[in-house]
Amino acid sequence: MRRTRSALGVLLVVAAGACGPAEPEFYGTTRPEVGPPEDFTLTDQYGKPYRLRDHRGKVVLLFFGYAHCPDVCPVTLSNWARVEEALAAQGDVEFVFVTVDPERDTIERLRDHLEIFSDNFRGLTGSEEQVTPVYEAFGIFRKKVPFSSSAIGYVVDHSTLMLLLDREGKVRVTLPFDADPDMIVHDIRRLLAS
Amino acid sequence: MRGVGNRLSALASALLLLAACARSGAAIRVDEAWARPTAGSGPGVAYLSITNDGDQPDRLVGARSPCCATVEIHHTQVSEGRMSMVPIENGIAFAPGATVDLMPGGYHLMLFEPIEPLRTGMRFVVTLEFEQNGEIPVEIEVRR
Repeated sequence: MRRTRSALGVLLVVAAGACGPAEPEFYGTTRPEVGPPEDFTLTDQYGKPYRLRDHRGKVVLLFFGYAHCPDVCPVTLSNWARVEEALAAQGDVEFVFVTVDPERDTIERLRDHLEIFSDNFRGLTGSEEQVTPVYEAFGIFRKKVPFSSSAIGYVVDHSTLMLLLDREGKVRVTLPFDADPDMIVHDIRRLLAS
Repeated sequence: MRGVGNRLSALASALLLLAACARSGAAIRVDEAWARPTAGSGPGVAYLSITNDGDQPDRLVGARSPCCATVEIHHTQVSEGRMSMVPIENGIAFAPGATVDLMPGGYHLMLFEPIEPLRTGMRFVVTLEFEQNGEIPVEIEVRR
């Protein structure tokens, strides 16, 4: 009897060790579900109107950046390409890149830029009057900074957080711009399942 | 007589190698040089790891490339969820033995007005300009 209990104990320890530490619910920072979901309509890189509300039922990755962005935005878009590859069979996910530089990011410029990473990413732009309320609604910092000593002319300092919206269109998780693609995939799958 | 000739030949080769090293700045070592692909006339970005193997401090003060109109050294800073770009006024300093990684989210080379879009698999040369070690050509590979 004692021998059986000992064997059972060893088995439990081995099993616990094999499981390792428990996986977190989300790798990103969660946000409480408060207030109604945000909505906006901007223009995508094909010149068509894009209304966020039309994509309820999907998980939306939202990032605010610009095509001249030196390396923070390309890091995010490169990682998104890996996330898209990992989720290939899963569907129900939108990758949305909203410009913080509508002056330079024409629909053609956004189309050229996003094609480097994926044909399925949406790049959105609009007039200053259209984009400013979107930044405010999602708490996005954005500031145009002259860079006269450079050929770039000006840069745009901006928020680097990636937002994950659930199927109801509410921001539920935020991740840093350089989050590991595996962690992004994990959090998206959690939202798809919830 | 043949022995003397061989020794002279070896000496000449060694001198030529030394001269070549002096020109290419052997004290500076560059690893992991790559650039992202670009589209249209949009700017590109290149990353690399630079080590000063010499016993004297040096400074990266500029760069140029036939791939594009101008190459600039920039520095991105990310703090509290915000990114900003900081101009590089005096280049990047390298203490003896120091390595500086030009990598995403930090120092990088901006490639303005590419002659043609940089496509995955392409290779091009960027010439780094150092205060002490002079000009050092580096081959950069475009990859995603």
